[in-house]
Amino acid sequence: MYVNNGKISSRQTLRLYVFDLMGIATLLLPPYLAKLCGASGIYAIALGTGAGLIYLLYLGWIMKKMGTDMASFLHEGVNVWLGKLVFVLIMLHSILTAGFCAYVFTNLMQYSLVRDSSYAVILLIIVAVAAYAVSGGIESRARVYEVMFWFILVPYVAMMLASVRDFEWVYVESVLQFDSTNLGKGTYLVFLLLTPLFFSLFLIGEKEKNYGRNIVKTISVSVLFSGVILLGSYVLLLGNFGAKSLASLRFPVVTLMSTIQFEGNFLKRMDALMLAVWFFTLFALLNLHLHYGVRMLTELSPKEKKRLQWWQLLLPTVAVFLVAYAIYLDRRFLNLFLGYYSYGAVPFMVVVPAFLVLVRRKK
Amino acid sequence: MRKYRMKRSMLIVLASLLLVGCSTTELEDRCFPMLTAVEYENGKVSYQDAFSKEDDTGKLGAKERDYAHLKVLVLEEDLLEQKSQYEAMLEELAETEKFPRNTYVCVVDDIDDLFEMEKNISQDLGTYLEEYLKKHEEKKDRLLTLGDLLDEKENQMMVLYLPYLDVEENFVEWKGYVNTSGKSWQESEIE
Repeated sequence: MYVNNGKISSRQTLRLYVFDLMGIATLLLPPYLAKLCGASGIYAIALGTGAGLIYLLYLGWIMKKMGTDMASFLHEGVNVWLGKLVFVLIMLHSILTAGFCAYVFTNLMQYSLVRDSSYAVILLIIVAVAAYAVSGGIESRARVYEVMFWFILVPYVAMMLASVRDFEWVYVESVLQFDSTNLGKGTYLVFLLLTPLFFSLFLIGEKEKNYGRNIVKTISVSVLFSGVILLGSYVLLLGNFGAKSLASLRFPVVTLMSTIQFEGNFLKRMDALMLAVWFFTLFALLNLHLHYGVRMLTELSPKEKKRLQWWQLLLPTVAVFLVAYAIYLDRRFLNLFLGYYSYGAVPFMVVVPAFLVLVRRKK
Repeated sequence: MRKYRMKRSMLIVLASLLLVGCSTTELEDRCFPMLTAVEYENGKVSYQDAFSKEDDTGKLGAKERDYAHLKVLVLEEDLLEQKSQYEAMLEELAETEKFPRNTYVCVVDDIDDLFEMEKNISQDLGTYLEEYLKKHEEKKDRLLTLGDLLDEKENQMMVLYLPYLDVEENFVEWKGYVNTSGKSWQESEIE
């Protein structure tokens, strides 16, 4: 029932990962996939999800080889300086990705709710609340998401099903035509958003048999679940907007929610309520990366004090704010981040764990 | 100590929420058009709504138009015959996102007659037309919205038929359909 780190249960892990994976994927992927692959983007989603599952199996093998969680392995299993370097790199990755999540989250909030408000103020509030959530520990967040899970997903699925009314088959007829190069790019794009799986290496802390298999099994369900949600959402978006129009929209899934019409005073404004899906899921992803940014800094600090120090929380939080604000101010920073994520982050997350296992200290 | 710190953090977060209100427009400084008509005259596209006259005479003051409650977008027939102007209008609406995508769209011969009619009906024109179109939708096909027009501008895969209404003194009548290139059909021809 419980994951071997003794902090969050398998069910909480599963739900946390569904939130981490499905939110940003349903929000950002469809326009890019529509531009690259059109209707055949559904194959890219299936292949990308498959690649995510293979990656997860690979991480399970790494967990088995490490025999402990990644943080302990970096302290005890490899050269001290190599361990510190990897901690620093993961910290930087976490902060950059958290900054990007905060940027998207703030954009979404400003775009859909408070268009006239200051970007910096919204960003500041979001980052401050995220830091407060991180200070409460992963288990407190996991409990919140465990409770919110069905409250978020049931209305989401209901809204998506309601959009079937406006579905045009003519927009999905070209599903059998695809270009293999673009399909490959689309698959990679889907896989990019599954990279939070890397952090499953940090989830466990006790040396017991089969712990890796337990985590892999739990998170596989999250990956499959998110893949199905993404696939269903993509087909409906495609049938409602058409590939070219879908590619031109900023947040098509939010637009779709706002065009679905319900009768009745309360249900009429379901679209505003549905924004909670992305508020919660993006917040979960922001928290995940900020949490690991803070944790890596803690791992790098001297171990005299066990409790989290204020500066260990403040420094990554300020860095996340600055990254998000820089991306907002200058698009070149966004391109830099996307370049790093496409060509740097994925190779790092795939190659480094195996490299660490290869260069481990002999006992 | 921990409780004190928590209270302090909460206070800072709550206080910062107050800053959000600085640049927003208050409710009393807004007006909410329920219907907007797009007119093509002397080579120009212009937007008319129930507040246009007040705006021209300066009675509207500094009130800002908020289109969040817009129900119907009415296009003048002449506009559909001007392909480049019609496409430029859609381009602008897609870019500015000022009208909701789920706004119903219909076509009339003369929008002045439409605003004249408003004087003879008991409710605002937007609500009246929305109810009229919805009643018709129950019997016929799904009505088109602004979102459909914007999507088709990009996709170019379908021919869209917009409801064509004839305006009488105090009611409107469904005459048939007009496609987006300006050609009109009687209802019987479509069926």
